[in-house]
Amino acid sequence: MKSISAELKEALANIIDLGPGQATTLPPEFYTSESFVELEKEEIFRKEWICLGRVAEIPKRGDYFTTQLLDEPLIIARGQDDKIRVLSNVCRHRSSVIVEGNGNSKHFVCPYHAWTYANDGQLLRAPYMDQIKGFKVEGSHLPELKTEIWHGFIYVNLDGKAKPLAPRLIGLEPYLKNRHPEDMLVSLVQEEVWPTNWKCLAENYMEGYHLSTVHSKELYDITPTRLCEKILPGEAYTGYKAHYTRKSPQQKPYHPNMTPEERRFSMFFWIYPSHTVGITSNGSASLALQPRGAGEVFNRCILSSYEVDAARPPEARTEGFNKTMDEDRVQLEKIRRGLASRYVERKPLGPPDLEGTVWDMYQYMARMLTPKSARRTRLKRAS
Amino acid sequence: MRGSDEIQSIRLALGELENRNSGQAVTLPPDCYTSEAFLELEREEIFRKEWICLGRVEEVPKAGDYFTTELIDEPLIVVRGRDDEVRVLSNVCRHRSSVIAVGGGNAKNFVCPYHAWTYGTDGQLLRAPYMDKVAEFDVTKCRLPEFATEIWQGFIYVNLDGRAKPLAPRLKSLEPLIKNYHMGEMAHQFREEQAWDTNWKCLVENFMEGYHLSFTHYETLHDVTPTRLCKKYPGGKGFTGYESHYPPKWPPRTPHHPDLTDKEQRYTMMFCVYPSHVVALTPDLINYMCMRPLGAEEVHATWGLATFDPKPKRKTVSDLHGWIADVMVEDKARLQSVRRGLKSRSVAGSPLAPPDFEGTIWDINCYLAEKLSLKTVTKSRVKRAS
Amino acid sequence: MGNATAEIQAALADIKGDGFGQARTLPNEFYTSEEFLELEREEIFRKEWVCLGRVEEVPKPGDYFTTELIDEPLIVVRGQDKKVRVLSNVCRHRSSVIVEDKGNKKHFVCPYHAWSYANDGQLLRAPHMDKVAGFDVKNCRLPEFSTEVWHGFLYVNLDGKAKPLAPRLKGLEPYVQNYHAEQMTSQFMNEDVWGTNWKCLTENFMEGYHLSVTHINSLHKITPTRLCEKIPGGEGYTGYKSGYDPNFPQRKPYHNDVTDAEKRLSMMFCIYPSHVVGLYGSGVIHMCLRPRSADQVVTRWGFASFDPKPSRKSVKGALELYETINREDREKLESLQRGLNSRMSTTSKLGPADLEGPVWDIYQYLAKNLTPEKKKPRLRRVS
Repeated sequence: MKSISAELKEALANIIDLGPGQATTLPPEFYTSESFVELEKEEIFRKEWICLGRVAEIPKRGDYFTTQLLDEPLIIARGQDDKIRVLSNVCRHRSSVIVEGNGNSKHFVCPYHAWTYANDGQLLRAPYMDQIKGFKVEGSHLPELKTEIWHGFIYVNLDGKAKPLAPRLIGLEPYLKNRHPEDMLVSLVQEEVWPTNWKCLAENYMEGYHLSTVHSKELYDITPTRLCEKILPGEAYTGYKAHYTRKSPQQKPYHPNMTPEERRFSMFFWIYPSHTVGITSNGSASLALQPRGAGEVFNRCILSSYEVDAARPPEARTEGFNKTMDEDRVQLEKIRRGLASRYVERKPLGPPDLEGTVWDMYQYMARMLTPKSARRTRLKRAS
Repeated sequence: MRGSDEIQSIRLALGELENRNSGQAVTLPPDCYTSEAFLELEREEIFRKEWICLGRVEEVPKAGDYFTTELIDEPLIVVRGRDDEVRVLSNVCRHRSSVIAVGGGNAKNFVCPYHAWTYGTDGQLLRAPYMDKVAEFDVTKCRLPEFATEIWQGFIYVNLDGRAKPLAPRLKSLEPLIKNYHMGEMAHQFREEQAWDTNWKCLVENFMEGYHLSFTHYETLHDVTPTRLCKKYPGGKGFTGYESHYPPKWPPRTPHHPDLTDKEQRYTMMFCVYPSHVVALTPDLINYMCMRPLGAEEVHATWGLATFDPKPKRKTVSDLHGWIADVMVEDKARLQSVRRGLKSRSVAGSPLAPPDFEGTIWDINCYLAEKLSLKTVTKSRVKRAS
Repeated sequence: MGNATAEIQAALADIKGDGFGQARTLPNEFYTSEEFLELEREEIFRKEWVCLGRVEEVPKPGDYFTTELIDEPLIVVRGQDKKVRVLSNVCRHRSSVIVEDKGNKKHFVCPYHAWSYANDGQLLRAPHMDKVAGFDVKNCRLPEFSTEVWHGFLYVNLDGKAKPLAPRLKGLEPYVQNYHAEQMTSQFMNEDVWGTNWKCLTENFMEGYHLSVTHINSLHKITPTRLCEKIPGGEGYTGYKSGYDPNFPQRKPYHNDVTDAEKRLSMMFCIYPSHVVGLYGSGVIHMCLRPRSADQVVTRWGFASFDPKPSRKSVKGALELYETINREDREKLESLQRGLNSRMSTTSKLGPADLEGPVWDIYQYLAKNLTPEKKKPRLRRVS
């Protein structure tokens, strides 16, 4: 396996704790290197909290949906005991994926040899295996992964060692408590693969600098660049407010707890590494991202709102959002091509209100991927 | 590491070619066509360091005219500036690496679609919204990198690393053979970008050898340029080529420059400007391709046509396009087949056909060996050291 | 770099020689590692006997078909001398593949520069090459590979060093001889690529455990799981008898030698490494498998009938049945390949010998051929 260049390692080590006044881009290798993506998968995506979806997708006992995180097929199921679990979706016999799609079921039956599991993961039946000495049905269980639910979002931690998530997000609470995102209903779940690095898509979603250019048609009259305002970041998150122009109509229904001020901006926040959410006055768009390769990202996108008009088909309800995303898709392809150039140099990022979130994420990545021994103290650098 | 061992052994095998003369002409070691590691070497040592053709100057006749293209992952803009200079600029925004311009046209400035950073047609950054709020950011100190360019016979060549020696002197001995055609006066008709499933060298060789004309192109080319009438001429430091003569029955090709001799009117002048610009120059037109590798088994092929007639009828151009496209279909099938064959373990070096038919391939092989081989003297040095 | 292969080889060494009482699955990388696949290509597929098809596919002089085995384009042809040969399908000039598909030809003419070869591989004509000093058409021929025919099946050995095949299959003869497969006539052959490891498809064909689950609507009524019975494996093969449901009508016609017991079962066997066969009185279904990558297998499959001129209806019926079975298996195996990429899998016991015993035999064969000669000392296990 090719290693990561000394240049990138040093670039990351050097930016730790640098203030926003010194914000610059990182070398393109950060986005283009397959080796670096493998490192991210091992050191970040396996070790941190990754969003899989929303509690609102599985309201009743027996409800489940399936997804994949890195190479792990997963079932997210509400058991008969009403508990939400994230289970490995791989048969304990010969590794077949057990169930696909979503639905409601008390049992999961493997289509290969009919090994049958309860929806809490316990093996119930394994035909003919009573003939095998030492084999016990009771001794077999689908692995259950560590889960945490925060404001209705379901997070999983693959290696089981992450510290609890909620305490690390305390600084975000004031921005969300009146909006109650957990009360929103699911309007549409879209699973897509985009041909871009996961960080390019996350950064794009989380910076206001591009709103007035890339989205000059869809968003200029609603959330222009000039009205963006960053919030203070935390250890595990960052965010910004995209204020509405005075003329833009009030979207409804909004939560009755929201203050008049809160009704006039969208709250964008980023739970590291890769859960980005935009909450408007009447709904939300959550992008749960994970890398497939350096140039490929899987995006599980969930659109929600306080009220869902079931009479309108999902595509019609979400048309505006998808138009905006299409504009981003075109732009991200241009970035993918540009990042392949050998002549890219590191340059200052835009002002904090407009691209400060990108700098915050860089700092997070630098902290996660730079061993403590490689970090230089600020005192030494000053001398 | 496996990659470098692989390259080492291929380069050594290439070095053996340098011990042969043209009477002992053989094919390249098959790994030269299939190894991704060797392809990386070619990208760096050849495509970054040599002169690569991007198109023709008459594609950008007026100030502000531009087209965009890509060379070994470098997005490029080819543009005629307000000062009438034709430049090749990096097409990557200095902010966050978005590609700036797409397609072609005429522009006063290039505006990045991401955050509206604006550059002049000479590459100078003119405007960067909100960046005045960023300490120490100075718009005047920022410009798009410009690459070394040379124009020869109306073709635009670029050299990415900026260190290549001038191109024209290396093509000096070709000049007398093509001067009567007045290529610089021909008019661009179209340029297409294609991807072919083959190694770049296979396509260059295919274009440059007459051996296959009467078999692969029995339906399309045998009546105009049959294999038996091909005749090689001596190559030079920067090129190789052959004359592909017409049978007596083939009608004259017009219009053409009056300087052309009677003899020159009866053949197509084929030449390759190393590494990968191949040209079929007839009395009335230039049909050219320039190859740039995408992978060991995939090549980006630029295909262009220019005519001596400055304003040919639309049907004439369309007929030419159709005819050449038919020829390409026949070649594509052959080359896809060669791509599969080259992966076989049973492939061994084969003698090439006589010089008139495959001598150009030998010249190309010698050029590559000179650029990329590990010389046998190096090999013996290693032995001595151990 | 060599880690994945070394680990898999260690796992194989660990099971080598173990009795069926200790039968267990191998680590997933056995099925997913591209690096290990390279070893299999060189040590197994280049060195062993690999089935390409059946000799009656080329009944008359000049008949040929083309195929590919680990990047070697091949022609299977019956020469004018009636001998069946396997020739390299690559022109000796500049490596064009010479001929495609199938047909009948006295000569093979390369479409690139018209070099012409007789159908025994001898170069006959190379236009203009008489002008090249030292070039002699007589000294040039297409490489010919070692072949062996067994019960009508044609095998090739690429490196030319394999010991003869038939002696290694002696123990299988009593189970197959009465069916007289060599008298059967090929009715249909097709080539597909499935998105799974070659061993997954080989194992799938060779175990009866899945029949009544995966094929509940197709094979369960013919050869249910409960009627499967393994035969002892040998140096070059393994197999099991798949008994017919008593209600399944008798398949006809069949050779007089077929016993009453043999009439009521399909004899399933695998000629290592990857030729899998289902032989019964009235015909034979078989698959010639070869790897394309760790997660892709080429299957050249088809069936032959004992009746030399079966009705169109019966051929159509057989084709429909096999296409249904293939569809059921393919869907499940392509899903299995995803499950095999999970890190959550664990070693599991295999099903009973009659149902998954052949899988264990296949493991033992690969262990024998892919690990160094010396077995781990028995002493360690005793302590």
